[in-house]
Amino acid sequence: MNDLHLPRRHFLSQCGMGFGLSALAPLLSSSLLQGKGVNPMAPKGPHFAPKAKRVIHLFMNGGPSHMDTFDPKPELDKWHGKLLPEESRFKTERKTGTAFGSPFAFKRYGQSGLPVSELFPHVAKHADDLCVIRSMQADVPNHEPSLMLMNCGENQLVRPSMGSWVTYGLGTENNNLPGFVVLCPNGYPVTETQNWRSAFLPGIYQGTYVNPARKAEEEIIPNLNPARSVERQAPQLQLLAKLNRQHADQRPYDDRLEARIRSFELAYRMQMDASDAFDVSKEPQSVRESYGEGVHAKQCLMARRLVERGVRFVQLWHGKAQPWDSHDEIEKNHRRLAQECDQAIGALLTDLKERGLLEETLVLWGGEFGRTPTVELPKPGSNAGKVNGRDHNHHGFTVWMAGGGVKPGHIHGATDPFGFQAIEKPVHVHDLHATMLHLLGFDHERLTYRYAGRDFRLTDVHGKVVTEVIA
Amino acid sequence: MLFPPSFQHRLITTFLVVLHTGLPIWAKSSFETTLVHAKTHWAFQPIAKPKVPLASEKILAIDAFVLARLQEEDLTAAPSANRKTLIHRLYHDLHGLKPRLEDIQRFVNDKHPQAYAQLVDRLLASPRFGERWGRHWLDLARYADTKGYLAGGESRAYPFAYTYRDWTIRALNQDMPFDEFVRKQLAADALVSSPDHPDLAALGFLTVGPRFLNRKQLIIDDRIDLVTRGLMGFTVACARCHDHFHDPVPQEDYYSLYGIFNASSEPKEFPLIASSNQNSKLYREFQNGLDKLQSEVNNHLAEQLQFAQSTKGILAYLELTLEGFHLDANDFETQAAKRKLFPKLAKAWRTYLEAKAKVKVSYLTPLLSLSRSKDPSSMIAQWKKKSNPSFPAFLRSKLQGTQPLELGEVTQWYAEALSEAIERAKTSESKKGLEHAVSASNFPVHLTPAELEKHFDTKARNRTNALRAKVEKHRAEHPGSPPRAMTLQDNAKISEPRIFLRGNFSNRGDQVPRRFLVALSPSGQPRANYTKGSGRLELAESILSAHNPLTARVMVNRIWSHLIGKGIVRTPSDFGLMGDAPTHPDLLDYLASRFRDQGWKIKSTIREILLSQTYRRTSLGLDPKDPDNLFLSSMNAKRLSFEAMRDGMLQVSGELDLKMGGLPQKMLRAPFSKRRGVYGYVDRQNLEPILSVFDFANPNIHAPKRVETTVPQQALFALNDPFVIERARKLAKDSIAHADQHSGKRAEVISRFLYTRILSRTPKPQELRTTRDFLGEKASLAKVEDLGQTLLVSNEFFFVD
Repeated sequence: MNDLHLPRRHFLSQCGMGFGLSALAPLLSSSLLQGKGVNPMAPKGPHFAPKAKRVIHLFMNGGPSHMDTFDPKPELDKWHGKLLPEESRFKTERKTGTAFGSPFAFKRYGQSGLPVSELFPHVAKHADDLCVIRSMQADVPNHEPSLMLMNCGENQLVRPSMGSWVTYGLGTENNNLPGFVVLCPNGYPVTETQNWRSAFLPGIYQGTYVNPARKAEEEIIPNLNPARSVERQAPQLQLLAKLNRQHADQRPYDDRLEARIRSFELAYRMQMDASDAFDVSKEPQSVRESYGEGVHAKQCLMARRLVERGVRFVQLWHGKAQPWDSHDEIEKNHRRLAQECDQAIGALLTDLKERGLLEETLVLWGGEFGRTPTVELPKPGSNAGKVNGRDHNHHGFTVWMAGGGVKPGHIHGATDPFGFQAIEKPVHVHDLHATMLHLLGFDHERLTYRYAGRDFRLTDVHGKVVTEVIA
Repeated sequence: MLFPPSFQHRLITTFLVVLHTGLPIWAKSSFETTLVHAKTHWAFQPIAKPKVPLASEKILAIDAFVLARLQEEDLTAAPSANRKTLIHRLYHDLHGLKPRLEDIQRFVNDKHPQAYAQLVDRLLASPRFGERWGRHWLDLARYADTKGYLAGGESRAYPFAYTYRDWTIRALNQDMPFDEFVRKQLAADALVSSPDHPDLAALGFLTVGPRFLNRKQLIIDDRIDLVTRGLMGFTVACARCHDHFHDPVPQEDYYSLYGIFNASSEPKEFPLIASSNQNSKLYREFQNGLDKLQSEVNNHLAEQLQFAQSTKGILAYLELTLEGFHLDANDFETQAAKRKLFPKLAKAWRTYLEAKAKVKVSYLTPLLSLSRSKDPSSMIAQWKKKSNPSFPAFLRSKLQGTQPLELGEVTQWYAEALSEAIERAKTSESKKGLEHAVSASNFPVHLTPAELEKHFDTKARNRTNALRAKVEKHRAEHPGSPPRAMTLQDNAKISEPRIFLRGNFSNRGDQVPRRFLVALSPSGQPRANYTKGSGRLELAESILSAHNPLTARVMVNRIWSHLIGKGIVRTPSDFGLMGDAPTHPDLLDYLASRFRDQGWKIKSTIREILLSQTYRRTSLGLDPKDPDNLFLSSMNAKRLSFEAMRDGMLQVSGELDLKMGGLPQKMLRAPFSKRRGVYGYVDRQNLEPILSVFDFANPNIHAPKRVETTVPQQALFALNDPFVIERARKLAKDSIAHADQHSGKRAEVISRFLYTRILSRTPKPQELRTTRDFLGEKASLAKVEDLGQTLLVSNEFFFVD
């Protein structure tokens, strides 16, 4: 909660005209900020002492190739151009052919000697912070169901997203900002707002979508920009508070009245604080430069500003649709995609660490699945006859985590020598969810919501905490 | 609840299935335990006709039940609310609107002994009633104007969802008995007398749900969930993959219902339900637009076929096939894509030529031999020397003419000849020669435009989708578009369902008959299988049957909770073992038995509740010993829904448009529709964030009730949304016009005006002082606007005592 005093003071010092501090005192009394039962976003306690208090999910939508990023496969290079042995070939969405060695060189980094490909030189500098899970598994090789699985823990049915579960479980530490923010430049990913839906949880736990590439004049979130000047709005809110107070005094047992009075105080501050949180121009030039140019730099920096202010769950998407879906030209496309985000992600990790935030911020990097070690065969109408890409792969793929109580400089699990299938310590997406909830202080089997005759949870009837990745 | 004696035996069968499917062993024992618990569970017992306690002429039955409970709990009932409060409450609960000051004054001064009952009757008779209560039902029915997520540019619109919304509102206004209301929503197609009957729109109940990328199993799952939870408070959908863990639903029951919905489908074109005025300008406009857009689709399809049947098109496919005979299927299709030909059509050509190559003599034999020849030129030279009686006529005559040297020319001749033959075959009566060949069913381009569509590549398909989406958009949005009913019809061929083991569609288990749920069927006799068509009408009858204690209880509980603010059972769509127990079981049964036995009358039930003292109690007298007001010592204050708030704002600014029905309106973006919120457009896939923020029912799943949250995003709407600002501005203009015509202190005149309009009362002296101070002497337009907005977003406006 301490963070939130800063922006407020900042705001007050800027708008000293028209009315003084004393005039605002009744609006800003922070005792009123504490949740009183009816505020669904009030900070809540988890089941046990958490290692992480917040999450940044860097969603590489489309499915980045693990063999080309964090799971080197020298054996694959040897088989390049040859058919893999029958028992090492698996069915994916489309037909694939011979082995396709990685066009990218790997190097070992840090004391841990964790290998990272040339695609992510900035992230690689944090090798000793990363906990790489190389044995991820999902259920099917298609985008829509796999996005749903990664985000909502279920391929097809209507279920709440992970961010919704986490905000439902923990509330938010800053009522002046949405508890769950989704950043995706210039549009929605595939399956759109389903990815951050609250389903049967109350609507307020749904992710709030923000376009980090929006133009300056566009609103960040609906109705955030004050319709009136501060000089005009403040007395209006004072009048409202007074009338509402008289109304509530005659109805002492209805705590909804109090909650609504408070919601106006919060809204008043949200107008300022939220705009401020998303305004990366407030950062010193040196910080901005460290993140680099472009929209990824901008959204990574936003993410840091948001978690710093107590936002519980920030999800960053690489871009609209499915940018990492390199069915062809993987060398060219993966290189471009990594270049777009590598520096920003590296800077984000550095920045979080320098500010002491990384310890309690769980950073998750990954896609909805990985890609095949075999080359995708040309499919009419879909990859223009080029034979230089990879198909979707749910049998084995990689995600990495950092901060938030994970084992640093650690590799968990392994795929087969070619990278097709997770064979050592497989981690299903349900297990990843169970582990993330555990780091946030939840027993995933007890974070439930009663709906339609049973208690639902993010992991449904699945999920096992991967204790080996916990520091 | 009693299970038929044979059920124990079937349990053992179930047990074997359980073993067979590899479900954990405890699943079986837990289901047995479930059955034991279910036998005594309150909701499965027959509806009793409980004796009314404290019987007296002066005390209504509802009050007697409530008072008896209060006595038991040693709680004191609060006194009645005053008339002003009551009329606010009634307008809100029955119409979702505000009473005007003159309505209040008339009622407060009404000396008639039945003044209250008369007001109730008047409000029940108003069309506003159906709009308010229709929306309650639409929440339950997961109503939306779109299908949900779909890729590839396919239209997501449900152009005619609104006909179901309008049917619901009409049915409730007409006080359609609830049994008929249910029957029509499940099986109107089996009940109506004509194919354009307006009641067909009732089937929207089933059909306006999410489409799950057109996955049939999930569409049916949604319908099972809707019907069982929505109508019976029974969570049958839990038994999709296994026997229900908590309630007496074996997995086979789920698939009995599955079979019913699997035996029905939407017709290709939804039927028109009202004869549109074909001479109206609007209709002609619509029809002309539709014809134009439809012809764009048809032209696109026709162009594709034209090319495929042209010399140029046939030549392209012939050349590809002859050159690519040696390629494997995948490479061949890739070659087709490279040449911008349809891979699927190319495949059809290849199959055709392969078949011809196996025949000793066909009209294609010369071309096929030539294409395989190492020296085509000399082969042609050989041909020229002979008469070649087996060759097709066109080839023979061509060979007499110029001197061809290469395969290319011959292929060109073939393409020309085939294309011409296709043209001739279209008109000629008796087909001869090549005309015969191109009319054969296996000839690759002997196709209708629609058949060719199945061969399209992604580009052509996306183009078709885009053009069709324009048609759908026109039908969905043009005001002259005539209404159609989103019906279902029984399939011609009906098969009995099979269990999907562990819910997996590809893992089929035993066949089960279509029939009703075991837990709700009469015990001691075999369950009847459904035999009439899909069985939807029979299902409706089972749901409404006297043996089923859930339907009536669930509906009266919903009615109760909309009026009292909380249900007798607080989990309105879950009356099973995981649901809450009723706080007043006898009262629930009293209401349910009367509801069912006296003609399923919704308005009568509402009326009986409204006339009770329980409903009329003040909301300010909560007995602190019962902080959750479980036992109803006082009335529950209510918060406005988003629609009631929005409608109320338009109403008090004098702008509410009470036009009923028709196409959905854009409510949340300027220019704002002034119609009631129930007519608002609901986008299922990307629901307007403002609606989510205000706890609007999630249209992707059956919503048992609206949750109630209070968050700053709601206050941001109140402070900054252009909709609110516009209403405040309108009120300010009206105030100033009023003040200009009336004498008195300007600020006071304005304050009185705004209080009267917005809160339907006059301000108290203390309030008058406060607002006068706020307005200042000048009472500028901005200040007046701010005061109007303040009252519009005040708690007094947003809550109902």
